[in-house]
Amino acid sequence: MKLTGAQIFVETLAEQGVELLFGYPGGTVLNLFDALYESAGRVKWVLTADECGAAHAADGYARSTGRTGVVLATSGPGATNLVTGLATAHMDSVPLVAFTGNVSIGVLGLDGFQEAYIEGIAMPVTKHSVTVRRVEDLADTIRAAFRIAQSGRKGPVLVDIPKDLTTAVCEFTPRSPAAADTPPKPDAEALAQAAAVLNESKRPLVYFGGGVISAGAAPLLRQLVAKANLPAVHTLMAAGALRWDDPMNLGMLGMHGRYSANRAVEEADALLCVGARFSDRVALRPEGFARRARVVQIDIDESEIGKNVAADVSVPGDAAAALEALLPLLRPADRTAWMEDLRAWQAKDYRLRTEETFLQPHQILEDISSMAGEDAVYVTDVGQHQMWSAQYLHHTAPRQFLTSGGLGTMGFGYGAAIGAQLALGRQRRVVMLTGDGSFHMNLNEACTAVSYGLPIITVIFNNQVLGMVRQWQTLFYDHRYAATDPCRATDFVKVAEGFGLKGWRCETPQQFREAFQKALQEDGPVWIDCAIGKDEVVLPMIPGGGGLEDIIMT
Amino acid sequence: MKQTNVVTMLTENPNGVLGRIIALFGRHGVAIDSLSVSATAEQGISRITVTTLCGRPLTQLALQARRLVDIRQVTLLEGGARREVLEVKLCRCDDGLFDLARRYGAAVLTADDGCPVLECAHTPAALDALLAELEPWQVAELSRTVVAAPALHPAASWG
Repeated sequence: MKLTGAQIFVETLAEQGVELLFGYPGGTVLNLFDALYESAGRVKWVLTADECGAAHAADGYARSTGRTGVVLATSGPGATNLVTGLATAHMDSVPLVAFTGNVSIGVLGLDGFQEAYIEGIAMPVTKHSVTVRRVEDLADTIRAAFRIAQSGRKGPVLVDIPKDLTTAVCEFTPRSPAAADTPPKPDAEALAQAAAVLNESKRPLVYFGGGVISAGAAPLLRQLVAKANLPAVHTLMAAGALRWDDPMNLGMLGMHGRYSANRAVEEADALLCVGARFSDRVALRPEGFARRARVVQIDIDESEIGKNVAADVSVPGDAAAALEALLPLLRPADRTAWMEDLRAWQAKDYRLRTEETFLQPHQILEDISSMAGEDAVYVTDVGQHQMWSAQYLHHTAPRQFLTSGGLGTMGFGYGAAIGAQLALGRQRRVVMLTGDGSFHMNLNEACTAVSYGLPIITVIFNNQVLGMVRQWQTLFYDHRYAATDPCRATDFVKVAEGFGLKGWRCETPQQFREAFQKALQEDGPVWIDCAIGKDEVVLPMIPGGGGLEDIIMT
Repeated sequence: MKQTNVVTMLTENPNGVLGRIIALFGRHGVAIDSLSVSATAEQGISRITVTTLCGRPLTQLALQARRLVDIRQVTLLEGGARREVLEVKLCRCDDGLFDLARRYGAAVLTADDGCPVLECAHTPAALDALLAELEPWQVAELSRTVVAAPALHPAASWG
């Protein structure tokens, strides 16, 4: 059948299983939105406050479901507003397809109104970016974008569509959804070596990252640690792959990880790394990381193997396939001595006291965990509240803790929460945790939450300062608080009302529990503004480039 | 003399991928010494050859290049056959120049203005030596191509 480019766009999205996209209209995408309108809901759109929010929403949609998120923006500023969202998704390997309009082909490169060379701008922050130059190539380019986004190490793809393509006509033949490329099968010999390293080990440790969640390998990881009695530590991105209360889960490692988790890495004689990349927030000093251990590394991206820390055994491939093949090769073993050491180190972990007269971050998060239910999905912004959320929330399942780990994007949260809530449906509880600093970067998306009636509960850790940077200034800059004490007079309760949603302020744990309980009964978005002290710090902390001997616990 | 690293890549879309390759090397702080795009025996497939004098191991960079959607194979080369073509216009001509050309297997051509042009395909080191010997004939113009390095001696390859 003969269709216009705009119709082909919609037909191909529908064919690829896209039901929802996030976007913002503009001159060069008028025809695309018109074709969506014409499709009468086959592919629905969600209008956000800006394109940045749309990109984060598509990201939250993808992180919470594993499906590819889709965002549509106009040319020029619409396209450049996507860049932070693309970079965020790229760093955390989130499958995303971004569509941008552009000026017509004959005008490309001539500085037309709202022209930007987004294909080039997006190059270093996407897996792939492409400008479609013939309407005949449009459908296959879109299909390829979805295949690339979901293949191997997942990531964002940008497809730029010049405006004249959207009215050009050509023959369209529907196809079945693009299947992801089959990942290479993990090498049997490498797996046998990996099993030997772990079976011979007296002090084995699993170090797992977001790749486990991306590969859908969390159930296999749970089987593996249970079968072979393997204690495990995780990265920020992998919270929930093992339950927080799994006795084998030692918690998060790295800069703000537990003392016991970092000590375990230090003392382990074998380290099985699955879907993690030894980042500078984990391997703070890569040359000394896991220095007593033989390192086995499983990663779908071969360029990650040995990148920061040398691997003794490398297993390129899909984490689920590798763990499945490794499982029968591992022998159950008695780890009593090793577990006793680990329990002794856990007894030395950082502990906080409970107070009833003022609000403390850990208490807020523990209260949320006990009230929100096990299937609640948590979304964070970036800063102290993010680290506290990683440390103190009760993570029970994969894809229930959505956070910008690699890029560390303040202003990620509200858009991502909107995406997650729309993906999972109104019946799922979505809680957005943010700080007053981060929230000032994206609270404009409140209008979207109101428009769509999304019952997102936003908890603002309001210490009146840019807490994480201030913490560094306290510890490493002799209390010189440059640009972290903004003296803002924002009244979040009034701002909430101005947006047409409810906002409450809390100053004690009792007030917070009441407010959160009330929020759970609400049908629309709610903000809870929590007053916390400006000197609250995230501990423990190992300074960048430091080792366990540098850990700050008080 | 610093070690030259050679990375060769096969692609169906040299226009699309060239900027990405340059950005990748730039991000790693690896200065590109020469870069060429050339035909291969296979129709529609181009070879991109990058040489650097950085002296660092390039395995990780090569693996990242392999991740680029339009790259189908990446090979790191060491040693082996590496040739360049040198074209050099000289200010005067005599029998000595023909002797020198014979020793290097070079041809002596004549430019439109009547000046001699020496043309030689050889290893980079031999061309350096030839240039040094050409000094008495006074070099007027010089053009030297980048390295042509067929993957005869791959150190590592990812396809």
